[in-house]
Amino acid sequence: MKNGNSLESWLEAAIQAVTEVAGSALACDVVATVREGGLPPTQSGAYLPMLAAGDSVYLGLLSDRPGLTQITRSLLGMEPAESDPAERDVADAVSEIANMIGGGVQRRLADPDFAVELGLPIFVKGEVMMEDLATASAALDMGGTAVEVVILHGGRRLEGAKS
Amino acid sequence: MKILIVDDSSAMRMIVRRALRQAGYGDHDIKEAENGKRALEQIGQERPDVILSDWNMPEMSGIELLRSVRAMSQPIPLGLVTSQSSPQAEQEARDAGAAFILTKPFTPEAFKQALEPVLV
Repeated sequence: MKNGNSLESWLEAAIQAVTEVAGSALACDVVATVREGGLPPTQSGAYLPMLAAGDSVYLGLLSDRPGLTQITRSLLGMEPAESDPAERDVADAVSEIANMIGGGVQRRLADPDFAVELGLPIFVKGEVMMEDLATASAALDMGGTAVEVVILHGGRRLEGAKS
Repeated sequence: MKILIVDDSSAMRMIVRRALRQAGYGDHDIKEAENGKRALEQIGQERPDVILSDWNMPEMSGIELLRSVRAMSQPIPLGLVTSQSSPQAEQEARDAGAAFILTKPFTPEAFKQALEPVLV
């Protein structure tokens, strides 16, 4: 990765972006604890692909089903009496939150000499095979909801690779 | 006044609609499309007065939609409502003729500030 943009700096930018998005779009505060080694237990959530100077990075926003439902309810401003959103709506909302967080990461890391591009988020249920990926993660308390933010570094794009 | 919201996320379309209402534009005729391609179809039928479009969408992106709209004989003002916030993206949007760029997450006040000059 580019000098000054280590995996840790991506995670730090992601934590700041989550805090910003949570404060404005979800109306809650965030307390973050960087995870020392290892990844969070398998959970569902949205992954946003990002490209930075040839590096492939994925930003993940993960939680269990009740946690994802709660942040969806917060984003949509749902009343307590309203029934929980459908799984499809949860996937859509959490993907959109990941997208907003990605924008915050982009704003913090990009400069005129270092382009950061956002891809389209995908929602994943279950385990992502990541043996070959460098990872960093943090546990977040998002207004009482336990959430994980994960950075996966997928390595450089292969020269001449066909897409 | 007709406003067309273009976003592949139904949650975000709802949030934009809510922000418009909170910003005082709730009485306007608000339509929705889920990507640039669908938006172009609707533009032909509905002729909106302003378009609020996401950037990253499948089928046709917001910047592609913007270029198509700007190429029309009577271009419709198009503001990008997007998570994109790099200097490169902002420059690309300005060069393509975006009426404004509103970064997600946004406030109703930011919406009002962006829309007022366009809806006069």
